[in-house]
Amino acid sequence: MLKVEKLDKKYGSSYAVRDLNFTVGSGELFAFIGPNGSGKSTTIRMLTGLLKASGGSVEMFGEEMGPGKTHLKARLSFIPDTPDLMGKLTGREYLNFIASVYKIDEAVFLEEQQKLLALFDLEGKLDTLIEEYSHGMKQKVALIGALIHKPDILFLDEPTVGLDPKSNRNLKNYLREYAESGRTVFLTTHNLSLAEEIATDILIIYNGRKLAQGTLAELRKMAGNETAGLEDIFLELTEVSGNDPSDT
Amino acid sequence: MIRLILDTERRALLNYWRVLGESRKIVYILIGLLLMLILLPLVTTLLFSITASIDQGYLDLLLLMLSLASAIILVLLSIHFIIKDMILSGSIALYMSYPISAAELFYAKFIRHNLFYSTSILLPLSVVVGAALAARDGQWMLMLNSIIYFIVLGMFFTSISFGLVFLTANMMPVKKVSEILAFLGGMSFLLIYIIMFIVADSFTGILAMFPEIPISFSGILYDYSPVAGILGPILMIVAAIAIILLTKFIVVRAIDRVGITEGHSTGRRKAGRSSISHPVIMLACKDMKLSFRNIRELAVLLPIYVLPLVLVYFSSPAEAGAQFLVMEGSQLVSTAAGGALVTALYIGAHHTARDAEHFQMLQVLPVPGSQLAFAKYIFNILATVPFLMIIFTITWFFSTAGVDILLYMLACILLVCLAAVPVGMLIGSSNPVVSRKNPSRRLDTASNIIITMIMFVVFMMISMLPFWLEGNVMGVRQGLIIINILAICAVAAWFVLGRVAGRYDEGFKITYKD
Repeated sequence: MLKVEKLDKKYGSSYAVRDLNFTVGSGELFAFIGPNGSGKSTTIRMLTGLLKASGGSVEMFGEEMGPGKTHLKARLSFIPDTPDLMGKLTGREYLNFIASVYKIDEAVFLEEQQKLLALFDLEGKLDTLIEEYSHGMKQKVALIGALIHKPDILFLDEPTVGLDPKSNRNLKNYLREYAESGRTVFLTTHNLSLAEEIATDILIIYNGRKLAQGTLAELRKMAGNETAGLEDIFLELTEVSGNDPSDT
Repeated sequence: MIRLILDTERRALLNYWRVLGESRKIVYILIGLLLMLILLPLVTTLLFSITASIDQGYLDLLLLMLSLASAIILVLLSIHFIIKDMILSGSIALYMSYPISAAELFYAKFIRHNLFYSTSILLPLSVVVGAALAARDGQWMLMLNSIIYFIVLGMFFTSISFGLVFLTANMMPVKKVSEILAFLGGMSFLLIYIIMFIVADSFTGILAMFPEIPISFSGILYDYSPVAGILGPILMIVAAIAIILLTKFIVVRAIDRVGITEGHSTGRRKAGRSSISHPVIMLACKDMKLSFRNIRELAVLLPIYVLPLVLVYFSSPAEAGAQFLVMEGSQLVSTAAGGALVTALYIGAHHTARDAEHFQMLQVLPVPGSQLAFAKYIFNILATVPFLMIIFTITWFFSTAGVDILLYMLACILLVCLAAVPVGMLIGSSNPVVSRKNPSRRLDTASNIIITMIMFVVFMMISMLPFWLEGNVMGVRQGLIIINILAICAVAAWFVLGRVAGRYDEGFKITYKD
């Protein structure tokens, strides 16, 4: 479904992302983790066609991804870490707008909207201007907008920031079911317990390069600690790499 | 603590200046020199000569008008900067997280805003007026009283501004207050146009139109008498202290009781209906809502919509006061075309640059650049053509031109807008700006300069029209030639629209400010 080969992004003379290779299959819940400034957001922006790569390729559904590929964009959704929603629209108007540009059937839209509003506890709150929503409510509207057209691949950058505990748990369950239905979820997060709990595959990026990739069990093996949590593995691997002079 | 806050603000200002780009510094210095060398001497000379030579019977009215004019300008200016500095920047929340009391914060901010936006303007004004009044009567105590009067007036204005911001911020969202006040600020520019239309060449003629006022500055600001001259300033200072204390009470209460944050929420809007539509229609509707719900945005655009009326004035200045506009048909058609060109360029550029604010969201949507550009084109045509047609139809009613001229005018407006909107969109998409502190700022300096230069040329040409077209009557042949040329331009503009679509696909080069 998603194939990344030798992906580079260069700003001036320094690399934000370098020689990144990985594949993500259907039905996977892929966690893409790394410290601040490691190149996560840059990578995700290249994968979604928002940013041109300096080198390498991104293949999605067997086709090269790029800024003008609207038919590919129709099959994905992306929520950045700070969603730039249009503040002067109400939540309902925003969702009408999204449903229209994704050309969803009206009956399907109304049914899905109802389900998602209940999931995120947003019923009866759609007729307020988005600029008057709290951060968490904005995040919920962005999530509903991203999920409503049932994309084949869903890119989420820090999706749980600002969500209340109930919505957080509902989102986790929803994402699990979503992946189990054969669709793909690509997730970046600093919330390592979330990644540990739901991810089927984990990639750790550090200084723009792939540091490790695998299931939690495989990462434990790499770190040489069979009982360690993802947080311990993450710190272990990034600290070792940080001390390696060849890495800089 | 107050000194500490003021010192921090001073350092922040100095740092802002230090990190400014060289080109921006040069622009600021040039503007400063322009003000110092041209505008200031002009205003000083004018004010001094009017105050020194005016008939004594009109002095009270003159001083009252000066005070009221300063009040309108300075209160709007202060309110704008108080909202920007204290609320939109989130500085209240920041300062209140330290061991600083709301009263200390108020005093520090009051001193800063009073010095920057009232005293800095009113002190020179008081010196000029005071010198003129002192020279009239040969009593130099009037100079001191004038300085005290205007400085105290400045304190009143700053207090009123703080009071208005913090009283309304308790009742409605701060963003809305900011938008409404910015709108009023934009509307106040209309006053300039109105003055241009109405003001005759005699200043005293206008003063004579006013009724007698129950206020007298005699003994304090002119015709000095020891009792009024000493008691007056003392009373003014006492009143200023009282109003500052009252304002402090309002501000401290607002900060302590509810806290002032950007996200102060209001009630819900009328329940809407969930439905879908064609993407282009939805994109245009989205723009319509973003425009009409943002009063701050309207404040920026309103003067542009009124500009064509200024062009009408420029093209027949000698007859501005007459019952009918004595304009040739060719003059009317040219003015309509010039007005449409200026308006369509600016509106097109501004609305396109606005997309930078949520460009990432637009880019991720499965909508090609061609559709995004087309939807924006449709919206811009809707946002310009009907308004211009109404303005020029009203203008035509006041002229002696025939129906054929009205039809030519309307055709010209439509065709010029069809041709100029894509050019405006191209300018707006070249390097748009996203500013958190000044959200209605959309265009970068280069784009602003390009549009201003075009406006300047159009203004110059329109003002020359009466001389060029004198005696030329517009016939069917000329009309058809003009319409054909404009139609070719409108078709050619589709190529420009294609370039704009390309920019939507490639991504805008956005400059993020603040």
